[in-house]
Amino acid sequence: MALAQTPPTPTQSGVITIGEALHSSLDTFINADECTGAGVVRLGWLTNGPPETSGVTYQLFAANKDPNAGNGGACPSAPDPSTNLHAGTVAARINPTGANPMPDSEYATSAIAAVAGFDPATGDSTTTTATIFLCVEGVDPNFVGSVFRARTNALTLDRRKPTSVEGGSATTGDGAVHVSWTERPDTDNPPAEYYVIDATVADTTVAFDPITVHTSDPVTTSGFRFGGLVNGVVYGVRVWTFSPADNRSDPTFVGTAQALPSSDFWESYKTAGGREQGGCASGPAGLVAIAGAAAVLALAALRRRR
Amino acid sequence: MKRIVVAALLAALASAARAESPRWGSFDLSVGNYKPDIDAEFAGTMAGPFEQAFGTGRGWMFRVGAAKALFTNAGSLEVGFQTGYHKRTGKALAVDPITQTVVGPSGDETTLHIIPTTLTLTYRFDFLADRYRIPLAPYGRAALERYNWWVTDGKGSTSRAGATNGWSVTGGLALLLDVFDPDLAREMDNDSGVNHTYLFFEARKSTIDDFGSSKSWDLSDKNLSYAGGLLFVF
Repeated sequence: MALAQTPPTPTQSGVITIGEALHSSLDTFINADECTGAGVVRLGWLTNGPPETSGVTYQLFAANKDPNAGNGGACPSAPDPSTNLHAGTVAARINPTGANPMPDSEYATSAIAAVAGFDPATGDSTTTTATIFLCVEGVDPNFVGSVFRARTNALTLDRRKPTSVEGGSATTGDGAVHVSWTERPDTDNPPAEYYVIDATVADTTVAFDPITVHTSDPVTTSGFRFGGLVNGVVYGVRVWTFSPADNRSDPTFVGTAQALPSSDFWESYKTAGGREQGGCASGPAGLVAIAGAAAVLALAALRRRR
Repeated sequence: MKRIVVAALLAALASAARAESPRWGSFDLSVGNYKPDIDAEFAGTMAGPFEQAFGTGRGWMFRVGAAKALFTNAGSLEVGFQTGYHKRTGKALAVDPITQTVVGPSGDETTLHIIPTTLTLTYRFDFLADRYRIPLAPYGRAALERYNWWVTDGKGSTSRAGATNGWSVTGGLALLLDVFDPDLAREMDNDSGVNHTYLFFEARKSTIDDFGSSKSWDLSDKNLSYAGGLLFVF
């Protein structure tokens, strides 16, 4: 059975905040996708100055060490081999309109990693993870002094793939397949943060599904009812593990299953000739009556206490 | 002489009984077993739809109740209500979309939920426990029952809902826990107004079939339902 080779797309935004709280969440990772090819990271920041300051521009720096450590809080703009500091300017004269907050913009990961002393394709020579600091300075119109300075906390450049899940199964459901799997313990690789499942059409003998590959939202459990499928179609199911940095594992094929209509207990009962009609001669009236009785007794008890 | 000794012993026990806060009624919590006899209407050797979906085992029934004492002079007669929850979850059946025949169990779950609502009349012979601290109080209860139920499918949607009426009788024995720590019992009465605490065990025989209606399924327990719990008299 042929399965599509397109992996599901990481769903996290990759936005990395600098400075004041511009975004509700902080992404502390630069992942493998952001490191390869034309990979980018998105950055935005908010200064503590006025909303717009005419002529103020920003400069973005990267370093492999905390800018606040031994540099007087200033963004390090040049390397210092004596301290093994890799640092440099990623972009200059950002913000021609003086916007504050500075809206998200994309910056090439290769430039960031290069000035921080890392080859984004391979990491450093011994590991696939590294720590990078990004720093922003606001510069006045005359390039005389800094009017704003902010930095990120440590960002982890992490290209490691998490370990694929093992085992697993796929079983039928009504317009769905049920998928389960087992996380494979592996202390050498990053832990599983979430999973994404895809279901690829494998056999349309009974019914036709116009969507060849269905991809789930992120799942944090080890089992999932994958709905929205077409009854009669056989699907092949794969599970992808994602790390905290949003790096993907290799997929694990957990099996095939046919989406089939299912008969719940009531339907089975009626199909067998059951005489119960359901509905309300009954329904919620009994609940309401009892709730009312409970309320009366509770009120009586309260009155007694007073 | 023997009568005098017994009288003196009873008097001593009676004097040990503490002064209590006024009594209003009782509150109880219990857990027991239960299995509706839905398959009773499907006579034959094949497993009925209930057994196919949920198997042959018995499930848990949780109940909570409150009652108002009508009198407490020679034992306690109480009228009250109970409610609770019972859930059975099993596998739905997969159906071939062309032939409409069952091909086996589905990965989808199906669930039967039951919320019993019960009006009760209980007589508890707690005279000896109240007066002489003899820590056992047998009791009997007659009840009108209304089992509110609904069935959900694999997506969690309600497939069908309804209610079935009936009645039940219960017999039980309550063990007065106060005798094990009278000081704590007295403190509890002072702090919260709980006069007595009992541990109880009971057996219930229920008939829940809309009083024999030909259009109703049978939610009676084919066997006795056994339960245990705590009773607070306040």
